Order: sequence, then C-alpha cells, then structure tokens
Amino acid sequence: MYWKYTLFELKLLISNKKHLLIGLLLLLFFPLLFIQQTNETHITVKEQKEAEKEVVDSAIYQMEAIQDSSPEFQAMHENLLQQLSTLNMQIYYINENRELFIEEGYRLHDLRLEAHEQGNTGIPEDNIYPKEKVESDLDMLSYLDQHNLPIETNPNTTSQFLVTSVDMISGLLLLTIVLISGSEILTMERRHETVMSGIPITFFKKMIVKVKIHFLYIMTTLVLGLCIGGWLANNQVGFGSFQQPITIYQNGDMTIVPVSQYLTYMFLAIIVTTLLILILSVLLNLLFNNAFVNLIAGLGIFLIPMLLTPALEYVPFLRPFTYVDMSKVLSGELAETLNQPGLDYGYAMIWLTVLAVVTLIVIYINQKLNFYSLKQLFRIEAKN
Amino acid sequence: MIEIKDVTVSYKNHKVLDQLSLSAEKGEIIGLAAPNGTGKTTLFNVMANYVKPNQGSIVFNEEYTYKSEKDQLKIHKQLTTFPDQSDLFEELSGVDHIKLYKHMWKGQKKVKDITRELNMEGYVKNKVKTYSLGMRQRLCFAMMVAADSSIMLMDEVMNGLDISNVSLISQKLIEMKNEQKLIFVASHLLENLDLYADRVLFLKDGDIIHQHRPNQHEQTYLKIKATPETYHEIKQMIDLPEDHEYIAEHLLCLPFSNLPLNEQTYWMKQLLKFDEELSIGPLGTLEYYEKYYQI
Repeated sequence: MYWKYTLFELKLLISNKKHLLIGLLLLLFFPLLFIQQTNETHITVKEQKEAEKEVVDSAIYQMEAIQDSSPEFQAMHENLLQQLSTLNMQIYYINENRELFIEEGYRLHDLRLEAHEQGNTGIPEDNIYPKEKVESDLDMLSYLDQHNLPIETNPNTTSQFLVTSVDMISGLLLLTIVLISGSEILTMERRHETVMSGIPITFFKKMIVKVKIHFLYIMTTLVLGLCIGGWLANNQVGFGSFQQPITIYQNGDMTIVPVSQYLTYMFLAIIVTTLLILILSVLLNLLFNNAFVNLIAGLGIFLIPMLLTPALEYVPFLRPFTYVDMSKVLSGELAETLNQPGLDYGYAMIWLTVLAVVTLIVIYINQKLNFYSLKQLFRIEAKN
Repeated sequence: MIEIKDVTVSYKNHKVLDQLSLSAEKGEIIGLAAPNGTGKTTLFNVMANYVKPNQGSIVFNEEYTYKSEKDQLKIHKQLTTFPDQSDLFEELSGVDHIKLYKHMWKGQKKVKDITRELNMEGYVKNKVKTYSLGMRQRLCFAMMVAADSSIMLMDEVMNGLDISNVSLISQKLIEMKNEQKLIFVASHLLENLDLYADRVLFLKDGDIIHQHRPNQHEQTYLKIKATPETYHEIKQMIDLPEDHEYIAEHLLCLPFSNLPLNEQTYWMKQLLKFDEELSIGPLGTLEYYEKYYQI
C-alpha cells in the first residue's frame, strides 16, 4: 500500500507543470552556466604571480625611498629582492618546467616565512604577505608536488566546473528552488480534500512519502543537470582531475582537500539542506495552508539572517539559518563574517541536522494536538 | 457497526447538529433527506472526523473512536467518503483514481470489472479534464466501489447523472448492500431513495425528526390532490379523521389500511366527489419531505 501510494504521489508530482518547470530549470541551469563560464576571464597562475611580483616591487620601491641603514632593514630589503627574483623565476618556469616552478615556490615560501620571523621590518603594512596565506600556499604547493599535478588548471574542465556549479547552486538558489517545489507539499492535497483526506495512511507516512518524492525529484534533476554540464565541459575543454587541490576552512584553519572530497562535502550539504527545507515546507503548509505564504515565510526565515549576517554576531540564534550557504562555510568566509572560528563544515552540518529534527518535532506535536483538545485537558487538570 | 452518540456541532451560535444520535448496522442503506444547509454534509464530516464535534462521539464496531491517530486509521480503513467531482485530479486518468482507492483500501474488485459494470470503458483511461459532469460522477462512484470498504458515506451521489446512470448506480447500491456494506446516501432524488434505502432520515434543526422505512409500510393512505380551497371545503363537508395529513397544501392523505372495509369504501366514495383521481399507498420519501419541509 505504501509503495502504491508513493507511485501515486510520484505520478501527481510529474503531472504537475510547476515541477516540470523546476526540473527543466535544473537540467538547463548547468549547461547555461558552463556557457557563461567559458565567456568569463579567469586569473591564470602567471597573472597571479605577476600581481604578487608587483606587490613586492612596490614594497622594495617604498623601502628604498626611506634609506634606513639598520641591519634588520637591509636584511629585509635583501629578502624582498630575493622574493622578487624567485617570483620572476616562477613566472619563467610556469609553462617551461613544473619541477623548477615548485622548487622556486618552496624557496619563496621560506623567504616569506623568514620575513615574518624577522617581523617584516620596514615593509609597508599593505604589502605584507599574510602568514595564513604563506601556510596555505605551502600546503597547496606540497599537494601539487606530492600528487604530481599540473600547476595550471583550466577552470572549465569537468572537475573544476562541477566545483563552480555546486558552489553556485548551494545557498539562496537551492533554497528558492526547494521552497518553490515544496510550497504546495500539503496544500495541493487540501485542494483535493475529499479525494485524499480519508486515505488510511498516517500523517507521518504521508509526509515521508511526499518529502521523499520531492527530494528524489530535485536530486535526480540536479544530478542530471550536473552530468549534462560536466559532459559539455568534458567535450569542450577536458575532464580535468578530481585530485586537484582546493582550500577549505576546517578546525579553525585552511586545509587542502582534493576536488572529489570537496564535491562529496557539497553534495552531502545539498542533501541535508534540501531535506531541511522540504520538512520546513511541511510545517509552513500546516501552519499557513497557503503555497504563496509558504514561499514568502520560507524565504524570510533564511534570507533575513543572510542579509543581516554582519549583525548576527549579536543575534546568535539566527546564525544556523545562514549555514545553508555551504560554499561560504567551506571557504571560511562565513566563519570570518560571523566572527565564529568554530564554524566549519562539520559544525554547520550538525546544526542543519538539528534544525531538521526540531522542525520534525514541531510537526509531530502539531499533529498530536489535533486529537487532544487543550481546553479539555486543562479542564480535567483543573477538576483534579 | 456505527453509533453516533449525542453529537453537537455548532458554528458560533448556530447549531448545525444538536445532540444527534443514530446507530446503523452492516447490510443497510440509510438515506438522508433534507434541504441544503440542514447538516447532512456536516454529519458525514463528523462521521469521517473531518469535522470535530463540540460534543458527543462516534463509535465504530463498539470499539474505536477518534481519540488517537491510530484509532482513526483503523476506522478509515473501513470507511470511505464520496469524493467531490471538483476535487478530482484533472491531469490524471480515471484509472489512476480508481487504482488509488483500490490499493489504499485493499479492495478486492478488479478495476476492469468495475469500469465495465459502470459503462466507463470508453473514457476511463483519458485524463479527468476531458470528462463531463456525469462521467466524473460515475468515476467518483467507481472509486467507492474499488475501495470496497465496509462503510461508505455518499454525499450527493446522483448529482449530474442522467436517468439511465441513476438507475445503474441505484442497482449497484443494492448489490453493495447485499455484500453487507453499510451505506449512507444523501440525495435530492427523493423518489429514487425509496428504491434502495432501508431507512430515510429527515434532518431538521440539527436532529433527526423522522425515520422513514420505505420497504416496511406500517400504514397506507388514501390520497387525493387538493388545493387549500378544496381542502377547506372537504373539511366543512366531512369530518376528517384526526390523523389525516394535508401535505404541502396540495395532497390530502387519510389513514387507510387500518380501517374496516366498509369505512374504506365510505371514505373512497366521499373523496371521489372532489376528485376522480384517488390513489392508495404508503407515504413516500417525497411526501414526507414535502410534509417536513413545507415545500
């Protein structure tokens, strides 16, 4: 019976034009994103190194204008000259010799570290290369070295494009799509009340079927869309490598993980976020019984904390709602904005799960109250 | 099988049902006859727990009441309510709807047999949005047949049906009654109710004011059509028995079956003076309806 009911709900969902449009949007989104991405200009490693060189060059120029003859100042000037030389060598080796590029990279790291150890004496504040960046650059370089990976990667290869895609879809866009999909999760049944309300299935079983069907539909179209986008990227640019490094914020520090791990993290986050929003849609449907209000209320719950992010330092209970934007959690941007160093992937996932469980408990209590009259309960208590 | 105990439903100060009590057993068709807004649908909604009564309870099989979701589920496994045709899913086919009810209530009847018996084979695979009112109504009935539950609540079951389909559904209702189903039917086709209902209940002011048993005639009447003027004239000329009925200002009915033969002849002769058309028979649902609701 449960299976037959699931099939019926699936048929209803597929026959609904709104869901067909959502499916179509998800299928077309990634190929269109790929087309847009190929027209974007990306910073190459060479351009990045040129920019670093300019910063060092400017620091040297400013230091020479000061004319300080102290040994510390002179040592730092020498350090910067060597950094400049190393950067020039790196620029030269980028497309010539990968091993020498990496070797120069290690040398550059040592020089930068040494500069920090010597207190960056005389270097203008704006020109100091941050210590965290020095560490993460070394991690990245070691990773490329150990895994024998190319220095330069095209951001439009399948592996890199998938990273861009999941980053793009997570957060507000996914939230809106799921809220639109789930806006009628129960109200649709209420529009067909005399057909559906007597069906002998418990509310929770019905809810599980509905959430499951919506979830599977969104996930299937999302994955299909990603596959189409990935296939297009592979055809146009190449497959890339799922071993390519990517930096994430974890345990209060920046860590290097392969693209495959990053994508796994993001997929799990998308799954948890989708389930949370669908369960929330059930609750909002129960409370407001209106698809439009469901959408507005759902957007409000997540959008207001997102818009107020800088102020959330003082309103901690609203913070978990911003965790749905998992790309910002993984990049460490959210931890920095909220001034919450403990906010990493694991922490955010636990909170999203807690929110889903709390929503389920509220739905459960709401359903139980249908069979108990509070007035009667209070009367009985008063009599006792 | 089902017992309704002192059920009261009120909206603000208006009591739709007022301490209404009723019990019914399997193998019975109970008709509900009353004008719109007298509580027929509310009574069905209370029986299915779509509306919670302010007072009173519904007991199924002397065991289950709507006190928990678990009990509700047990009751709903035995009970189906007639779907409203406007609530059907336009994008789905008739077969989808019938299968839903068959699978949810684990009905034993085959979909093919149901559609054949209800003459739906020609359109049942098409989307509901292409159906006429009558087709939709037959689909709603087919869903009830497919569910095959032991208690069925059918509100306005004959709506939008032509004569041949009314006859078909009436026949089907009798068959279902013979399968020991308990069926409640609310209908405005009053004479049609007499064909299959074991009891017809008349609701007024939130309660049952009369139970008519069409197949158990305790009393037959001598009936004559009479305008108020004619009725007044008859009353002046003859001493009418006290228990006579003058229904809806057009039908005079005199108790007939319990009179001795000579008195029966007397009354027939007397009344023939006023109209050449006399009829003898029990009061039907239509006549009771006219009596209680003063049409």
